Amino acid sequence: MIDESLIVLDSALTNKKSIIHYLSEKAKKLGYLKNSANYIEAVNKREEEFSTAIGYDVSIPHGKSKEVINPFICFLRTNQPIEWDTNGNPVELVFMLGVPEENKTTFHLKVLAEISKKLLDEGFRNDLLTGSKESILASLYQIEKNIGGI
Amino acid sequence: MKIVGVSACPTGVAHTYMAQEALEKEGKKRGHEIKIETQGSIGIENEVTEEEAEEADVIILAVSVFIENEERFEDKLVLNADVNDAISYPAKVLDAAEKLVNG
Repeated sequence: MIDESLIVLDSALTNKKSIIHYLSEKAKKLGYLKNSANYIEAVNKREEEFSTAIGYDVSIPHGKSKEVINPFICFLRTNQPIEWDTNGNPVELVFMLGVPEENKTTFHLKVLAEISKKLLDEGFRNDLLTGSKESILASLYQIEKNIGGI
Repeated sequence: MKIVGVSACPTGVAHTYMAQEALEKEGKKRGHEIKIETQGSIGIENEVTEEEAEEADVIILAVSVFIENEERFEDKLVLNADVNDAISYPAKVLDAAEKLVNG
């Protein structure tokens, strides 16, 4: 679920649509998604209901879809704050989550919930804003480890 | 004061849990006893019992979907809050809850 290849630092992408598209194609290439177009539609639909920019320079687009083969979490950091929605919420840290329609276990949901909670912690956000890929990966794995396996 | 509540959002993957964290953090910072139940994709966690609901001074419902067991909170002081507000502006939500209790 946590995957080094799904961590993208200092991206030059400047809008929500291209970021969601870029990360979804990556997830598909790595075998997390069957059909990326349907997944992207689910994510965009969720965004339309309500923007997932939650303040703190963070947005968490997510989609629950039968196209998701294995749950995944992407992290993308932009090289400058971008405007996520028409409310003008600036965003630098994007966490995109993929959740299968049918859940065999709740482990991945617990990890996603825990990461979401940690985003409210300023120290954690600062690490994400300035950290290297290795250190970000390490803290995500630490969260997963704390949840304690299946 | 004693505060209990529920957070829930449509997908129940992220916002539900962030709202819980934000409200509990802000509440504890202010010296309140606070417990927010989550009704998300994992199911019901950190459940608020009938007794805890009874003892609470105020209930915060940070929900944008129908929730289970809402009848626990009948006849109680209830603050309805937006899930996103609870995450982004927990201080505002707690201000409103305190105001509801203190009049």
